[in-house]
Amino acid sequence: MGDMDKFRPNKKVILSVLGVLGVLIVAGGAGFGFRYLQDNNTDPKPITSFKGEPLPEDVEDAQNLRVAGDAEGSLKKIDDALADDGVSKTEKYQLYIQQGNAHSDKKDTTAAIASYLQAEQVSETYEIVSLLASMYEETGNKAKAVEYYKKSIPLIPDSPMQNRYKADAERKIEQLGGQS
Amino acid sequence: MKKFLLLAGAIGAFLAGYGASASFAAYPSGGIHGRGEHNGYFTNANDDMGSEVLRPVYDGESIRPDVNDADSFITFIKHTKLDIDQNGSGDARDKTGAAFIIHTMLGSSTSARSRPPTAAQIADWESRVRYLDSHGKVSWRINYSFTINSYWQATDGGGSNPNDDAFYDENGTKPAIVFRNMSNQVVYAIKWECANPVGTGNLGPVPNTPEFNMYGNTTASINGGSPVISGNVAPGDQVVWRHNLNNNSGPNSTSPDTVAWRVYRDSTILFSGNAGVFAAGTEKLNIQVENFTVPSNAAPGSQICRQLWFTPDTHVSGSSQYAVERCLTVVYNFDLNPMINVTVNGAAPSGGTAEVGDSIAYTYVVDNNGPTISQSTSCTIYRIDRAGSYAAPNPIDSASFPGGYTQPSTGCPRTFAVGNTNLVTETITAAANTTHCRSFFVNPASYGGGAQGVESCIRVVARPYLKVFGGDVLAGGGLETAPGTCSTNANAQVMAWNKRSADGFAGAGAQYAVQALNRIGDFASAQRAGSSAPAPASLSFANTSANTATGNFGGSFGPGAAPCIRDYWADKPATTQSFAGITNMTTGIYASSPNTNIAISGNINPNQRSVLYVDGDVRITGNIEYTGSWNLSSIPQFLLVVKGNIFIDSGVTRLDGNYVSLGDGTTSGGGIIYTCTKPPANQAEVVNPTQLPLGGTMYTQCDDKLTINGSFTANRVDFQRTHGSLKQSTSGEAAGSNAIAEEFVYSPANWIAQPPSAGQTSSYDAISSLPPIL
Repeated sequence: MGDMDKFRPNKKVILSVLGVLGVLIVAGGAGFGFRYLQDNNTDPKPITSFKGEPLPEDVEDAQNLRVAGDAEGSLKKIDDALADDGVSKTEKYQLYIQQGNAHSDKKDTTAAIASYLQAEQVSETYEIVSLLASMYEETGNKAKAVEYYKKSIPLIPDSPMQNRYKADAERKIEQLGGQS
Repeated sequence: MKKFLLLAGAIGAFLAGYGASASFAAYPSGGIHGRGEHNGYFTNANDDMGSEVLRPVYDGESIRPDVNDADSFITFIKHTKLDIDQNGSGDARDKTGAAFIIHTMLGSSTSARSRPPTAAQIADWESRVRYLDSHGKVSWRINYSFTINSYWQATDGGGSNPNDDAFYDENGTKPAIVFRNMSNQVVYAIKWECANPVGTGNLGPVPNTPEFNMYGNTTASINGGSPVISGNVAPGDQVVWRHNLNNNSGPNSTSPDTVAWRVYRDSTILFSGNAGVFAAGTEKLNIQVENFTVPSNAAPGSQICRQLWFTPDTHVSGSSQYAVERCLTVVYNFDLNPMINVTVNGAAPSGGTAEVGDSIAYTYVVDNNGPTISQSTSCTIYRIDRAGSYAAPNPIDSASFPGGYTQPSTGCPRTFAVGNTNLVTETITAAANTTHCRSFFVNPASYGGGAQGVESCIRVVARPYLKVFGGDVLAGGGLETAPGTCSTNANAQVMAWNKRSADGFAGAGAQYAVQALNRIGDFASAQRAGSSAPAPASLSFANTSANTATGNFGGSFGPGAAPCIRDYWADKPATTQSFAGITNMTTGIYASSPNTNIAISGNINPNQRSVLYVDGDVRITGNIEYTGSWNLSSIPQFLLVVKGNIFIDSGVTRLDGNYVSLGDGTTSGGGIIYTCTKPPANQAEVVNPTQLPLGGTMYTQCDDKLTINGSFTANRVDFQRTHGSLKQSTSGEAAGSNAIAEEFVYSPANWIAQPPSAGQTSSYDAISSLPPIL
């Protein structure tokens, strides 16, 4: 009891301890807050806004077959799917792209272009127009390549990469001797 | 000192707070790698504008062009971009991008996303890349369609510009490096032009390196043959399915796991079991053996499959895997035999023949001797209608003759079930002097084989028949060598065509008796004799062994039972008149020059009774008729007695009188009467006639009816007329019927008027008929 009596903090000590504790709490809170702000910076969009949709099943299957080296199996799958009267416009568009890809895998650029053109008939998008531009460029058809690179620019969707896509298209046009 | 300690404490508290925030940061579930669209992978900072994940410094692309295998890819990401060597090859953007690629390929949790990745993470990543590449699961440049793109949250376009990478929704198709899992599903892709990781629905991770590599295999032995992984089978084949498992390539044992397995047929589990632990390098054969018989009703083209499933496949307590499904294809095994079933008037054709006007029905049948249904088979029918007699050649006809034939509808091409299939029946009417053939081909006749055909022919024949009215027929009597003495012929038969019971035994026959020392075949006796002696055998000598249903109408009367043929030559008087043609004869006995063949024709006048002896052959070139009107007192009579043969030209239609062809008394010495002789081609043939060749010409050249108002007596008579046919005969047919080929009418005038004898004529004083009338 005597020792207890000896430890009697005075007011200054108490204030000092409280001050140190306050500094530590503020520092810890600052660290926490800093990390929180770092991780949740500038109005992040809700995660549910991410679609991340898979391709339609037939399209995915056809792509898997093709990537695995079975271009013929992929083409058959595509033909079967296209023969279905109930195929949607969106799926038809993607099937034609896969068909073109399969022909491209087989180095049949003529057939590939034909399929891509069919996709373009269904839906004229930056994706298909730029694909056609690349294919025409690959086959040495500079005029058509330039035409399609030019055609692709106004179709570039709003996206994080839109400036890069535009720059790439313009660079290609210039390389191919066209005027952007 | 106190201030220093306070500062240290404050720093410590800051870091503790920072770390605490990181450790319990509860990112929302979903998104890609736990991040929402445009939110940084490492910092979760939001910035929706940017550029390529790696700098596009390779002619507009971000991946070095020589990246084409695991080594070059790892070197590029790890050394060039992550700059693990710290030689300045990668800037901050590249380092973040390389770390982004490594972590997303690993599927690192948010708390494990260090920059740079740890050495252990890099090693794991390298292992995974090498594993997939070694299994051919990486396509180093191929067009790839994606729905998720990524970008570097660059310093342009506003936003917070963190040094981070983020994902966003974008559809595109671009050349990419594509990684697949062991099931060949794309699990990760990196675009060449920007090194952006891209995907569909999700993105990464790539599979981790297996602890072991269980491998399953299925083989089939067909009918005891060597194991195969595919092949063809037919119904009834014996198949032995064998299923094997191995962990040959390890690198570790499956222990403590044992490997469970199943055998599937489609989605049905046929067998299951557990093969135990597989040490590295272990193979266990025949973990299951199935004996299987291909069902008899297995459909051609169908497949019989087995697939082995097992678990774990690569990791302890890991996932399962299906081995490659093995299938056997049921192939056709058929044996088609085309057949033509032919009927004539609804019955089996007799001897492959029909008569003019008959209905011939060809029924085309395909017999499949199985054991499977056939493939689609074509059926081709050809019509071959040839004049005269024709036999199917070898090889059989494969073209129509004449052309212009349209085959009946067979329904082919079609398949044929096991057994007989009737296709169609084609009915035609038999045309004269024609052989109607049909050839029928099926193709293919067997699996992988060629055509098979068959040809059936029906010859349209005439069955001319002989009828005797008012008289009898006798066969077997020999030429008399002395009064009442002769050698009879035990082989003597009477052979003809008769309808038998089908139509009252119409056709060939005699009104009265028929006698033969051998068989009487299809030649009726007692035709028109009345109910007291019904045809066909009532007056057949003998009728004891008759079997009328088979055309045996009697005969075999007994050796020597036939009377001798009178030696008419012996009646020739020593003195005769010289013959100078029938028209120059009057009543009297005439003889031609000895050993001379002659040709005769002409008429016998009323009350003229002439006998002509010819020591040679006689050719009758025209009708010999009793002309004019005559009565009982003026009955004409003509008797021709020939030592040689008598040839009757094809154009002769009527012979009145009695004609005797004796020959020289031997069976080979002539004495034959031919009822149809070829018209002479020259003068020499007039008296040296040429026989008609058998074949088509006989039908057309001998088709005139020959009526004999009298009798024939000869060593042998060849009745050759082709006029009419049995089909036209009717029951109760009377003399004069146009259907008869050769008709004898033996009226009493033949015997009432006796021929002159030694220049004298004689007559009966009275005639009385007594039973039996034969």
